[in-house]
Amino acid sequence: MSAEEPTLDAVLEAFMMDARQDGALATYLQRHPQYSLELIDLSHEMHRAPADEPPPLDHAARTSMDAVVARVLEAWPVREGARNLFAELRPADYGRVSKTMGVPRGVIGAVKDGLAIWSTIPGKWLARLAAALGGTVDELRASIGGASPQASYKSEARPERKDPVPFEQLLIEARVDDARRAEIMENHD
Amino acid sequence: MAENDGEGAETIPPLRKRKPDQTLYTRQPETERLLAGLLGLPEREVLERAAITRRSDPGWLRGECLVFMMRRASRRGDKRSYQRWCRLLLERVRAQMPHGRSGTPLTTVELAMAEYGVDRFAKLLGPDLSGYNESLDIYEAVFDLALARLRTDALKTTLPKRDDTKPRPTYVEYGSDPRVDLEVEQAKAEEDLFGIARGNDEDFRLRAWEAIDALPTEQNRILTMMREGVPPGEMAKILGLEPKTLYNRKMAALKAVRDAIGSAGQ
Repeated sequence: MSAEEPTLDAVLEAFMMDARQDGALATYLQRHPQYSLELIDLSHEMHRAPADEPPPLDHAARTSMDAVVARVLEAWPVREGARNLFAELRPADYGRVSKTMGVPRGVIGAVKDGLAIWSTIPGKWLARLAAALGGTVDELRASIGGASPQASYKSEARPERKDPVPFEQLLIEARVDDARRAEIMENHD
Repeated sequence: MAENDGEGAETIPPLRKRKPDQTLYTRQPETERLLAGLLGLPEREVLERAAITRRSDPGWLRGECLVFMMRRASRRGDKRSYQRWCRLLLERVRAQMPHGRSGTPLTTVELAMAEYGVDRFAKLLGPDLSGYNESLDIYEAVFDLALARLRTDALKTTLPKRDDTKPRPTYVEYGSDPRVDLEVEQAKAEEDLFGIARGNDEDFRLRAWEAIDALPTEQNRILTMMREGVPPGEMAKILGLEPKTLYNRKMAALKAVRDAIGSAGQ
């Protein structure tokens, strides 16, 4: 009785994982003689040094790449079953939540839009926000950066940016006073 | 999958695919170290670094990091971020498919190989978006090597099959001595042509690889096994050659490449 024969794919990938070990090719040739030629050809290609600077994409290549990205994004899942904690918020609710959390509405909106780097948000603050929205931290995380609901969080101090920044920077830009900011950030490593 | 332990510290989730011996795929320690540093940076800054294409640039990021960041955006449900990482990654994949010298347009075959590579990589992403595709793990573990595999597959798929049993024009038969000691001959031929191909300037490297690639497949395979220290007896068995024939073809391969490198250097 022999163990189930691994597929060619499995063997080639395992070889890639072990390629840094001395004598990897010889070892794999011994273990998997039925895939010898494929292992040798892959080993040959693995030693090809990539160009330091690849040639730039021409217009046709960029257009083709755009189409591929669009095709990939068609598979973006509609996260059924996952609650969007922000979906049912009305403008007035943003006021309530912001009051509970002690920050301007713009901060809540920015967190909703994924404009704060998740890892920089203090865990306790996240837990309180999730509770204020009626969900869990996991649900809150799944709700961030998703499709925008209709509700507006018009704000006097919503940070104007497109890329995520550390949470504390968001607070500074939203003009949260120093004492409150220190209090919020206190529990963050 | 848990990337946040509830106290705000983001962790790097392990890969899930297993090798046939059931050990998990792992990222290289250097990749883990880089990722730990990247997670503390604003995403804008990481994206800027990811867009650097020159490998010798100190800010250049390895492909494994881009795959991680793209999957992270998916886990966070951040479509906009995912789109950016996806685009950068596909460009990386395309850039590593076979192409001629810089500045020359792609040939039809090169174009077909580029499209093959991008398409095959892109096909892994849909299943990963709707759950977790373990087939993508190899790219997060050893990106360049995974692309080497993609290139070999592209070459086999795109290039017309060639008859490796017939000698090609560069083939040279050497004088024969049936008592030749292959172990001794291998020791004489220690020169690492692949090392030469890696260690010089880019144009020289390209010529050296062109010479290696131009060899009949069998000779190419002999050089590869030589470099990797496969014993000659094992080589002969794998290729189904008599020891004398193996020796002849090995010497022919070495001569052809040395000639090409020599003429390239002149």
